[in-house]
Amino acid sequence: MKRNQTSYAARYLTRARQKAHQREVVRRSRRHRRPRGDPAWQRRPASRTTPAVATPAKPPVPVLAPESFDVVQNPEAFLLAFERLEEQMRKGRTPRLDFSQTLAVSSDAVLSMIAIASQLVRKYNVVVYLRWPTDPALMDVFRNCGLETYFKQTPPAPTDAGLIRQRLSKKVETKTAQEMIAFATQTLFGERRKEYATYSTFIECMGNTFEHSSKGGEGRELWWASVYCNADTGKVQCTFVDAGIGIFESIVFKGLLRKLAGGVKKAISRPALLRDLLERRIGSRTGESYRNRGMPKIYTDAKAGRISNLVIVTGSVYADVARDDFRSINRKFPGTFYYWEFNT
Amino acid sequence: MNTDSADNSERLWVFVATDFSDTPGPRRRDEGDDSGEEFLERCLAPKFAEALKDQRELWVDLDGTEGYATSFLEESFGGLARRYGSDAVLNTIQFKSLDQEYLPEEIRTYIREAND
Repeated sequence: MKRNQTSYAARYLTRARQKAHQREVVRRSRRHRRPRGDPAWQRRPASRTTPAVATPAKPPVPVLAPESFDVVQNPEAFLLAFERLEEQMRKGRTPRLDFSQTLAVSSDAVLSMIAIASQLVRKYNVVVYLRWPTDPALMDVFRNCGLETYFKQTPPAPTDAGLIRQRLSKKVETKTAQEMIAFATQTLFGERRKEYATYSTFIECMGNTFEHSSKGGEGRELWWASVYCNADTGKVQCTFVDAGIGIFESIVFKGLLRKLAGGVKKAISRPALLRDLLERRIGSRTGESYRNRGMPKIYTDAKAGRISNLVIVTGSVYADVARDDFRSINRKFPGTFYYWEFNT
Repeated sequence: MNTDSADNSERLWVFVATDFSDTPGPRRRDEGDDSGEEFLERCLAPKFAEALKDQRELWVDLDGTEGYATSFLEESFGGLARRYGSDAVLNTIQFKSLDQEYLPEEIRTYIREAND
């Protein structure tokens, strides 16, 4: 009896499902025959419709960008904003970077924002929203740096003043460096000029990212580069950011964080270590003494005036070479940041 | 550039921009295109061997490119010195560099320190 009852229940449920399905099919066909303005559309419960655009269950959490959104001038406030952003993403919340209180924006900060936000989005699989500044002049800076075109096209189209490029292959991209310099000189000076020191600096930065920026092997990390033509100063602002482990993690990884003076190990501060690296007092992490010339060359070019206002930020070290200011900061840059200018 | 025929008979030339590339790249082939390693293998070493054999000077024209990363120069000219010895290279190679006058002395430093 029980078996018969079970079979009857199973058959009943199956028939019930079939009838429900048939009713649904009829209902849908009737729905399609009704005009759009028909009030019957409105009676349908919202939970049974599929929204065209997924909206977050909760509104994004605002994270205030600093008044001076500038890595070179204000590195700690810049990095603090992204630490707060990451904190929200770690908790599974959707953040919104809020520029409503921002008074100044620099091209180096725009590129760094793209680099850092891209890393965070990859890591946490959470979208980052932006609330744009209310000042139209600031909005123009974002636009002229190439932020809008960066999201709309690959590769991004140049604007009137700026060009952003991201690593497209695993290799050093010489044509990208050539293209950026050609764009910048044509835009600012009205003619195509060669900038030997800037070209070599871009190639060195790309090469360093390829070789040294990952513990997991070569060619793994992304980089971003930009040029921005500042008509007010008459200079081209160049920025390069990589998403790697930073200069110091690279040195430590190979076990070269050691300085011997008379056979005695000395503890060195990281700002001093960076200065030693730039002045070529530290050997290459590969152990070949004829190497390790890339960063010293960038430093030499800066000292000789072939590039100007060189700033390097890596980990918690900030180095403004022009002002001979090497110091620790209270925040950590997730990768390595280079900024310099030229005006031929 | 002095193209006097009497001097030409004593000189071999390598024009980096036209014989190799106007966008010299990174150090090694696996890092990217137009590397120092490729320049050494394809252009510099064969001409240097010829210059050595015929006891002639090898002139390298560095002009006309976008610029040079130090890793490119070290791998090519330093690499040549690691093969033939720094003295042989310094005695054989001369440079022409009107665009970047500081380059020849920089390269000579790489050649001298190549075997350190």
